[in-house]
Amino acid sequence: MGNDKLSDIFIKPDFETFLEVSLIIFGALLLIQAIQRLFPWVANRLHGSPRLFILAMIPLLRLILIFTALILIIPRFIEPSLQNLIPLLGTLGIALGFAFKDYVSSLIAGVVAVGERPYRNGDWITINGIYGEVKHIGMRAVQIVTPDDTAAYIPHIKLWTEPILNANNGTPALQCVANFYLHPNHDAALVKQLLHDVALTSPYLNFEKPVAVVVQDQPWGTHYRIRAYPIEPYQQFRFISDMTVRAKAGLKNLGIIFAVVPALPKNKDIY
Amino acid sequence: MNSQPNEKAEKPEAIALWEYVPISDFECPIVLSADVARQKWRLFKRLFTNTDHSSEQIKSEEALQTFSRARLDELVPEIDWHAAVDALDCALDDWIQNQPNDSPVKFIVGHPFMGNGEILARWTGRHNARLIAKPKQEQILEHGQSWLNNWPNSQACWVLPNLDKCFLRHSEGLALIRRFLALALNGDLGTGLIGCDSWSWAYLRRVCYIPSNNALTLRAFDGERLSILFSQLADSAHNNQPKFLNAKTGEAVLSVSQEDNNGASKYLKQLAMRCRGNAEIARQFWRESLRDEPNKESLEKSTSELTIWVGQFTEGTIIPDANDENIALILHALLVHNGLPVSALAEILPFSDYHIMDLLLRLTSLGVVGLHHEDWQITPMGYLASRQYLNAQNFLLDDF
Repeated sequence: MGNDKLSDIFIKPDFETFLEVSLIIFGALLLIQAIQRLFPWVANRLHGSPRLFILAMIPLLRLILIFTALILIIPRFIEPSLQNLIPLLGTLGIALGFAFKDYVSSLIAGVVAVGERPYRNGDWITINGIYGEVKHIGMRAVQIVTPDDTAAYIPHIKLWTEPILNANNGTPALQCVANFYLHPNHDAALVKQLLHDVALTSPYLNFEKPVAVVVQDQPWGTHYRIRAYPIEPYQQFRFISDMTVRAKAGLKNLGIIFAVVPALPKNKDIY
Repeated sequence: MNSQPNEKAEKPEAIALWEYVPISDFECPIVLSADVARQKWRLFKRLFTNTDHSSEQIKSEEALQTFSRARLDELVPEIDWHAAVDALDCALDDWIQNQPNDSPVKFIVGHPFMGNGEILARWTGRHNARLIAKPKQEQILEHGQSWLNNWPNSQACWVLPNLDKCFLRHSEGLALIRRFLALALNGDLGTGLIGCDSWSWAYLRRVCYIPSNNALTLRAFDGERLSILFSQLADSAHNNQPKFLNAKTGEAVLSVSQEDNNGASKYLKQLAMRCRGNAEIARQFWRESLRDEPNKESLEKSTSELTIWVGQFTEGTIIPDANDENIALILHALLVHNGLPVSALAEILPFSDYHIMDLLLRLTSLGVVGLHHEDWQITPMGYLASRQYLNAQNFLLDDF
């Protein structure tokens, strides 16, 4: 395709066109900023499903605004005919494919993430072993904040290759597990009942969801797990702590001995 | 106060003010869609502001003044639960006569502040039944066999008026109540009546086996019932019932007498809806809304007609910080246990007793909780705000 032909695709922009395009970009940016500030502010004053719904709307609305801005801008520079668009997109595709492959792949994955919703704002997810709450879904990357209050930015490209573990999947129901390791010589039925009551009496318990106590014998003792749901996902650590503290007190009252595995040196060469 | 059974026979269309119904038949007063929208808008506004300007006085009320506490006690005295005992008698008549083996116990689920314990205590006296005292906190936590072992061994009906005081939301606080319920439902303890607060009922139904088909509760007070109740309360202190007029519209809020009660005013319907059919909470809001004209004593003496103005709804107590989880935990604990001392709160909540005391003092300054004997309890004026607060944070609520 000759240079003359490519230049024929574009409309010669005048000052008015630049002004219009600037206004469109400025308006879109302003609206995106407003959404990104206002929606979390409103959502953080709500609880449960309404909170998660409002948070999940943010990336979708931003995508709609970006596409709307592009639809308004492109006809101001290009005559939008099939004949014009095919060569232009082809050229762009080749250029971007080589130069910014991963970046473009992340952008496309970002669009897919908004559509498929493997994670939404407010979800608790694990990607590449990093666990945290989704705080922001950007065009290129998702920002999660870990329980240690560390922000992690993970590109959407991980969608193609990595498993995404979503603990609550857009709902307020997030299962918590409290683990207990006991000496094998005890009345398992009694302990199971106690641990069940520990969950039922926790002030954080969500009664809409079931409570289960799983018992498993191991070579070193018996492993108990309380599986239960807190009222809100952000209460998960307080919920687990509460169950752990009260279960330990209850087990101590029953005279149950906790399993103690002696620490072994990793390096045999010490001896 | 209440229509007696023989009176009911003469006037079959009269409304039974006090009536016990199966818990599954309980219905909150019908909510008008406009009122729901108004209430939701008010709550939405409250998310963003700590103050609520909807409680501002309208212009016509500026010239009115509130009544003294003594005068309010005359106009709206406390509810006499005697009539509710009559209604309970009616509801239990068949059960007492037949004493069926398949339902040795009946549960009477009380709405908050509706005198369930007092009603059951009076019923006990009337039927020479045995009143069972609640177990001590130590007995609950030590699985209290002594409390069950000392159960009266007689053929007489027994009454436990406060099941809500027989457990703690603690890992070792449920064993006693489970054992008691198993024995009672099996008929091993004889025939008995068990009273329980609605919040404890909601919790216990999720942690113990309790059949709800044996449970009765008071019918909700709709606008018409409130109109009759408030008329009766005002009648009890005056020979000539005062006129209650809406300060905004000038319309009568209460019917002049029970005989020509042709439906309740919109004001009372809204009050019933807002108070979820709870007569005692409605009575407290009613007291708060009554207004007097200053310097009118001479006029009243000459005409012998008393006019009382009813101002717009007071908002009740407002809990300002909508996201304080610790406040929600403490409110919920108090409601589920129908009031608790600080020592017991420290056993069941995941924070220290000084932090609990700090929260209780904050809530006391807001008028949400108060100390009643040794127990901290939610106040009637703080109840609706507390329920709304817990609802917004998705806590377990009662069914009423």
